Parts: sequence; C-alpha cells; structure tokens
Amino acid sequence: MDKDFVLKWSSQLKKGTLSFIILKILNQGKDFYGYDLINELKNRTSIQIAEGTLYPLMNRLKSEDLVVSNWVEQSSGIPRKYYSITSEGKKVVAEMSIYWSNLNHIIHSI
Amino acid sequence: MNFTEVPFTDPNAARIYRDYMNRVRRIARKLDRATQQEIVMEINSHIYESFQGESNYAAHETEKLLDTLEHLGQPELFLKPLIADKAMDQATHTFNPIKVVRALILNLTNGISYFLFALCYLLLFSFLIAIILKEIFPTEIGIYSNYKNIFVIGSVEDQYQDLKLADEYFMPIMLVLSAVVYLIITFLLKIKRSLNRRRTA
Repeated sequence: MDKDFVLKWSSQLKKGTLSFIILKILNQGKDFYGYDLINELKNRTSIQIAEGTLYPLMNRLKSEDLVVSNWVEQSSGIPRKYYSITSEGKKVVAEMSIYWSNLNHIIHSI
Repeated sequence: MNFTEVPFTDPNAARIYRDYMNRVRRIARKLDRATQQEIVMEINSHIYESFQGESNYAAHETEKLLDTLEHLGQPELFLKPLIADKAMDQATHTFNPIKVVRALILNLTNGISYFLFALCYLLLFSFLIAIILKEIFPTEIGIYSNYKNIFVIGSVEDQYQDLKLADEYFMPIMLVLSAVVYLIITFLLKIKRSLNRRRTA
C-alpha cells in the first residue's frame, strides 16, 4: 500500500475540511478564542494541526465575513480574541453541510 | 487594548519567550501598526493560554514553554499566509503602489516553489530534447557562445556558426546538465515534502 499517497491525501482532506469543521463548531452558538478552538477541534475530531495554522484560516474566514472577532479583557491582563459566526457564516455552513451529505451519499453508493 | 507580556519566573523561559515574540514582531513589521499589534497580541494570548493549559504540571517553566512554542510552530512559516493576505488587503485599500508591490512579492513567494519546479522541469526537458535534436540535425544543433553576450544551446543563424563550442562533447554535456537538474529537482522535492509534513503534523 502506498502509505505516502494516503498520507498526502488525508493531509489535503484535513486542510480542505478544516474551515467547514471550524464553522460547524462555531455554529453551535458558543464563541471560542484561538487556543480554545484548537482544543475543541482536538477533542471533537482526531485532527491534529500545527496550532499556528489556525490563525491564517481564521483571518480568511473573517475577511469573507463568515466570522467576526472581538477582544475580551481578562483578569490576567492578557486579553482573548473571541471568534463568533456571522449570519452569512451560518448560511454558508448550512450549504456546506448539504454538499457534504450529498458527497458522503455518493461515495457510499459507489 | 495594550500588549501585556506573559510573566515567567525562570529567566531562561522569559528569554525564549521574548525571542519568539521578537520573531513574530519582525515578520509582522511589513503591516500597518494596528494589524501588527493585533497579530502580536493574538499570538501572545495563544502562548499564555496554551502555557496555562499545558498538562505537564510537574515540568519546568522552560520545558512547558518549549512545548507550547513547538505546538504553535515556526512563526516564519505559519504567519506567512496571514501576512501575505493582510498585506494584500491593506494594499488594495490604500492604493499605495509601494504597498501593492510589497504585497505582490509576499504572495509571489508562496508560489515560488512551483515556479522553481516549473523552471527545473523545463530545463530538464530542454536538455533531453536537445540531445534528440542533435541526433537529427548534427551540424546545426550545438552550444554557441562568444564569451560575452551570446550563449545559445540549440541552432543559430549561419553567420554565428563559428561561435560553436565543444561540439564533440555536446552529448556528454547535455547528459551531465540533465543529471544535475534531475538531482536539484529530487532535492527540492525532498525539502518540500518535509516542509509539508512539518506543517500538517
């Protein structure tokens, strides 16, 4: 078995679905800050990402108006930047979910 | 909102933390002040939260911090797409030609590996095709140079025929050049593969 091929494929798949998974997590109604979101991702999926790669992705989601962020002061003096999903983000994640279900159905039917 | 340093009691941990944050600042320097501050504060917040959440309670501060920074990754790598996106955003909003050029250069470096591969493959195929063409057109195909401003591998007009060099060694030279380019491609592929693995690990 070509393990290298499977590794490359799964890595591309992870990259491709990461924004979908993050939007789905945010769509549950709770706001998350970066580190918290990474932990949620680890706990809910088996996906391990280099933690720093989350931030360029969040910036892209923000520039597409799918998420918004706001700084919240903490007693430690080091504020957290919380992300929440926008109404546009909710519409997009709904569309993505339909597409994902259809794709899943197609793959299983082959 | 102001930047607050993560406090460390161990001077080694404090030094490692400051070095890392300086690297983040250096990379973000290409952006406007507010965006720089935003990026630095978010990475700082991540380090603080991750350090607090580090499960290895018994570990020394330095070890815990090194774990945190290892999980976060090399700022030069993970911040690159973020900086390129933000620079492009700023450039298109300000219409400042200097910013636009800077942003284009930043975005170009993301695709530079593909450019290098394309160039290497083009060279490799060119050398191999030159060998085939030499068999078909033995007198026309060659290496031509006047050691100044002319260097051609292929065919030239009749007036430049006297610039032909090392005709008897044309095939071995092309074979050696093909082998060198092939080795460069293999080396670049290995580097790219290990970088990709590190990014996706």
